[in-house]
Amino acid sequence: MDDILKQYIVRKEFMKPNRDVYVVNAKNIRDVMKALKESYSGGIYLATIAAVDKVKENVFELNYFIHIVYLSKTIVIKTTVPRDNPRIDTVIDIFPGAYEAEAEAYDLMGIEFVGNKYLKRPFFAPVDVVAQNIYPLRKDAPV
Amino acid sequence: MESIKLIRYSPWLVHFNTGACNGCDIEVLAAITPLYDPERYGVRLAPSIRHGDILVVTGVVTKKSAERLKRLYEQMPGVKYVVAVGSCAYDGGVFKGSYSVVGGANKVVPVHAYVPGCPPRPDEILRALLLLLQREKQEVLEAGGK
Amino acid sequence: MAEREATTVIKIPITLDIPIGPQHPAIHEPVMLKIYADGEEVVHAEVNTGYNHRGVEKLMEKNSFYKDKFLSSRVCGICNTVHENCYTRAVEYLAGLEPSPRAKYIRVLAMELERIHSHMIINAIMAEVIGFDTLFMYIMRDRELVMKAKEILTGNRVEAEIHMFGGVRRDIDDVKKDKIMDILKKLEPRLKYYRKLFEEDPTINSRLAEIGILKPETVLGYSLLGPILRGSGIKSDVRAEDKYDAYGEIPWTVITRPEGDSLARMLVRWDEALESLEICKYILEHLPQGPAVVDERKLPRVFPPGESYARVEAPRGELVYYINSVGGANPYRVKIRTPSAVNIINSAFSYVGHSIADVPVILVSYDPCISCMERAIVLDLKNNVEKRVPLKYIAQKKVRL
Repeated sequence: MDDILKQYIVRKEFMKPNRDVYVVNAKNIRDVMKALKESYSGGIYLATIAAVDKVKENVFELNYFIHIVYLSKTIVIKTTVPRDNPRIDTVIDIFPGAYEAEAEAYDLMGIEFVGNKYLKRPFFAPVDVVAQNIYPLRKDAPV
Repeated sequence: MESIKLIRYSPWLVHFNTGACNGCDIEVLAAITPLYDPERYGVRLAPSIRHGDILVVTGVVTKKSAERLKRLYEQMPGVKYVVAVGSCAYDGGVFKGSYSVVGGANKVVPVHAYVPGCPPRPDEILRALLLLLQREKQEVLEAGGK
Repeated sequence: MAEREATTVIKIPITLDIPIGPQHPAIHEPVMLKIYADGEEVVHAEVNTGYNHRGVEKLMEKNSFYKDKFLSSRVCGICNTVHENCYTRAVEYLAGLEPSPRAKYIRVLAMELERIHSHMIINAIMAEVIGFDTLFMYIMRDRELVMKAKEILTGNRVEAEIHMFGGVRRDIDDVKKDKIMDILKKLEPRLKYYRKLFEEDPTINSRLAEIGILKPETVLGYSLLGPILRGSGIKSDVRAEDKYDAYGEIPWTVITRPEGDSLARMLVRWDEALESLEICKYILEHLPQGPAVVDERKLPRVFPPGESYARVEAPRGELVYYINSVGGANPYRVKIRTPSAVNIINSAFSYVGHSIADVPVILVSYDPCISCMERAIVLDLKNNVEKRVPLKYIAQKKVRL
């Protein structure tokens, strides 16, 4: 794993109980996903994308959880986008299963996935929340 | 409630989930199965809302489903009653405090019977229906038990 | 090639237990599966808006870790034990607590009983949708045995609430063990009969075989999980991969089938139910001695900072909880991804090319939440007429389009 992603890894961390976390730069996310898909093709899927609002550091943190069936393990690709301009490339053409995860992160946290033409509001959030332009899961949302 | 006599012997149920976790729904579904046998009382699920007599509401009522619940209640013809199943339909349950939750079913439609529990047992749901139809008398326990 | 014109639109409202955002709890019509049909054939399908989630993720940030445990089991009533297990284990990884061996076996027993009842109910609904009402009633009658076993073990038919950080909340004695064993012995021939029926009955075969075939690459690409994954030949089960709780010590096998159609998915569920029965019998015979119940007074009030990610095999697929804590009594962020979310929302592509009567069959084989089995709205575009019909009427071709 380390040698497939060697050129992109900024830092390696650890998430309990025993998951490897690879911190990468947001602009390399598509290359990272393509490299993973080609190395493990036929036995890899995207489990989910978890977005965390880190107000103190003024960033949104995105965690991509990828499960590799051959190795029976889940790895985490972690990246950050600035809070005042939350944009990142989409991976929906590499992993079509990202449709639900990206729609959720866009609708509730306000992160825009460039290139995903299926993003829309309201997808999950109710109409009156969308009308006031509120992203409900942000820490400063008045809900 | 005098008009309850009109539907006493063959009430048809319509079940509506306004936001439940499905715990109460599977108990309502279990209440129509052979172990509890509601058909001996003439109770069965109606094929459409226009044939329904009793509306069984499960789950906490949200703002969006509140309009749908009201419309459904108005579409029921003639003699109609509402039974709220579960503690979420009573006053919001564990989801109280979410600003977009209206609360219990009684904020939208008039409720004639409540069945507390999380979720209540199928025999309790059936018993609530029978008490509503006045086919069973409710015992009132004196203070101090008896 | 010109795109085919749709003549009818069928909107199927389904409930999903996706618990995010501070908004409205899940309602009767949270996800609308919109089917555009030309005559009898589906040309386009999409999952429409109007979805409202429950405010569970935001509510969890306002409540303490202990209260969130009870909230997490009310995300879904049918699979509440696995939700609780996933949340409990995620917090145990954060805090470094380890349950005793006896507690682990009791947890697995509760989860496996739940798997049996969930698989029985979806098969009963499949039987009802294709018109086999008698089979629906028979399976529901036998399912009551499983509910009785759950009640003996945990005290409640549906909501088990047996987990606590560091162990379980109730123990099991010999009298209860014998009662549960009797129930399992009564249940086994019934499960074998239903499995044989689903495999050999000509009605079921004609409606289910070769409908909704999914290839392995498609399934992985769209992240479809659970029996859908295993019904297309991919051998992936969280219980075998993560070996959480006592699954590493109990002998059991992962069930897969190669065909990938709706019948394969339902048969995978029956085989898994039989395998769960064997696991339950093994547990009752080999329960280790020792303490199981946690002394709640000794549990910590605040939890350390960190992140954890727990996975569990729910009856419908892989369920994950991600918890981020900055120290304190409340979590900072909880993310829940239920298997129904990806199974239903990502699978809109698979209805195209089938006839309308097959749509409910394929939908039920993905195992959505059962409150969806109500009414669909059929919109006739040519005559601009809208009518509400029960979903099973569409499956049994009783609707003229």
